[in-house]
Amino acid sequence: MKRALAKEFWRRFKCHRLGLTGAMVVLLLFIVSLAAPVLSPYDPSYIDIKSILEPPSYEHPLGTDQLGRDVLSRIIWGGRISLMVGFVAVGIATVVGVFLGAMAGYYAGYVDTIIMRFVDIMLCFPTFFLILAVVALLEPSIWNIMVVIGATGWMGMARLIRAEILSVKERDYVLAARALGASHARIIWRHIIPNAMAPVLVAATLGVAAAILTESALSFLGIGVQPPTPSWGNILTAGKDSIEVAWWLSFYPGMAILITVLGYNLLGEGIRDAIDPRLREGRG
Amino acid sequence: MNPVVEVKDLFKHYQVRSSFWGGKDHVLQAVAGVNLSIMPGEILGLVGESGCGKSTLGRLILKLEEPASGQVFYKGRDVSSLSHRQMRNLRRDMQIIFQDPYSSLNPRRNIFDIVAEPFVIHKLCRTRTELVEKVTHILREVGIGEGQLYRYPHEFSGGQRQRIGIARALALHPEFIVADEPVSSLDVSIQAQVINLLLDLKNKFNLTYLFIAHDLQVVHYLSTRIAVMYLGKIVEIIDKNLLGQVPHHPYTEALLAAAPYPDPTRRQKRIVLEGDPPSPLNIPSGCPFHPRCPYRKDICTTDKPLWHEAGQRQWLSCHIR
Repeated sequence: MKRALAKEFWRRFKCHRLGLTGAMVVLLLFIVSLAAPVLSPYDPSYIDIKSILEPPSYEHPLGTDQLGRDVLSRIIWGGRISLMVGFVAVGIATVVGVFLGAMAGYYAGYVDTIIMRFVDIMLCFPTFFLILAVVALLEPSIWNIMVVIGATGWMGMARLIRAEILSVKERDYVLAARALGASHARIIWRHIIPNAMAPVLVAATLGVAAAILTESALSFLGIGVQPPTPSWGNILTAGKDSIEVAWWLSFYPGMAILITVLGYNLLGEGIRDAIDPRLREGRG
Repeated sequence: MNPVVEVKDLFKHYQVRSSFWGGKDHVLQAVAGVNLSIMPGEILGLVGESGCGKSTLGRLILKLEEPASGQVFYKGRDVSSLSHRQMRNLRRDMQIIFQDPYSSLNPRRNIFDIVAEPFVIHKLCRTRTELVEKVTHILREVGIGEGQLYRYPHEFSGGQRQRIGIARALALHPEFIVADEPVSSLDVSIQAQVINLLLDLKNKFNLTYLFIAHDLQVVHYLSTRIAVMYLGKIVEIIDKNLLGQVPHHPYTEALLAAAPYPDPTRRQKRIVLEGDPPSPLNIPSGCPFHPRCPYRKDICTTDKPLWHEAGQRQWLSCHIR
């Protein structure tokens, strides 16, 4: 985004308290994940048989699990995984969605019909079960998960950008570019896409939250990130077996997921309201 | 002298889907058989009420839309027969100025980028310095100072934006410009400035304009000839000096009577047209103006009037004139 517009954006965003809170949560998560090697008090896969299922204490602020591993360290390292899955999956979804949506919106006619019917077909699949099936067929690795989440999450993005492009392409500056003899590529990249990206940015932010949830769910079911690599989902799985004796094992990763998803959702809403006040729903 | 632009039997219609479940599609006749020629150096004013197809005609001439049938000749060359590359080159010679200065500039690009785009598209500048020089030069022509080069459209007023749009259109030194209601969304005081700017630039660069407007006074002030459009058809073309002096097409007459005149002592005959303009989805038989015409005769409802020369410098299509 260019300077003057960025200033305008910031002026509105900083008045949006919830959005600002979300931004701070997300920023904090970023810092913690990047600094994981420094911040985490223990090696997340260091097994200490002498301190199994210890409640939160000074040495282990969030307690230990069945193998005596430090829960805080595991959550910090698990945050890295969540963040990576969230961003890569949404990145894939955005690239595919924007490309197909832009084609459909700009060229209209048959191209539009074919792409949008394909979107409809994709939307008919219950996404989560599709992911389950695909991951069950392929080996459950973190890369497979990111690709699968991305490949099943682009349809909303495609619809959004198509709708936006249908409206942007009728504006006079696009006509002016055509009158000047600009190529299709130039018109799409310089004039249409930059003006159609606002809702995509919002959808992408909200998409990160959804992708993190999906990843956690898959890991919880045991077909996501495989232990011993820590992920919030698989820490939860381990926690559920001993929930009666070690509540901290399920409570803290659960809270991590909750706060992260909430943070991204608030940030997304803040961006939406700041980017374009017209997009604001149900508020004055 | 050969005309710069010649339009022959131009038609354009849009399909209007009636409902999702099919049913009868309606056809909106936007331009219904227009013949027109525009001479070098002239300003042809095109007037008519909203929705009569003025803008569509302008866009068809620039090949921003494809006609259903008919031809547009630019300096004798049929525009529709040109290859992609030839058309691209031709675009340097014909440009457009838009009505709404708010939607005609891309909000995400600064003024430099916007005005530099024509040079970039046609690869006319080898170095960045050359480009900056050309852009500042053309902006100076329209009265935008160098200090504002890297500002964004939202930092300018409507009049300034319109000037920037004019600078973009003039960048490649075109010969022919379609000005699509360039002043109708501006304040009256700014209108005068922009109109005078357009006139200055016309003299300086030897331009030919198709000036689209719905304000007869603006058109009368700056045009050399005036074309009146009604429901997709040109009903009268007349020399500017004859306007109000000779018998006109009844529609032109009504337009003239409706134009406000800044003299409270002057009383003129009011002609109030009956009814609304008919929908272009359902154009009346015979003369399209007959349901609203105060001089209607039987023949008007059945036969289409012919396009004929009425005076020395006047053409019209009407049964009674």
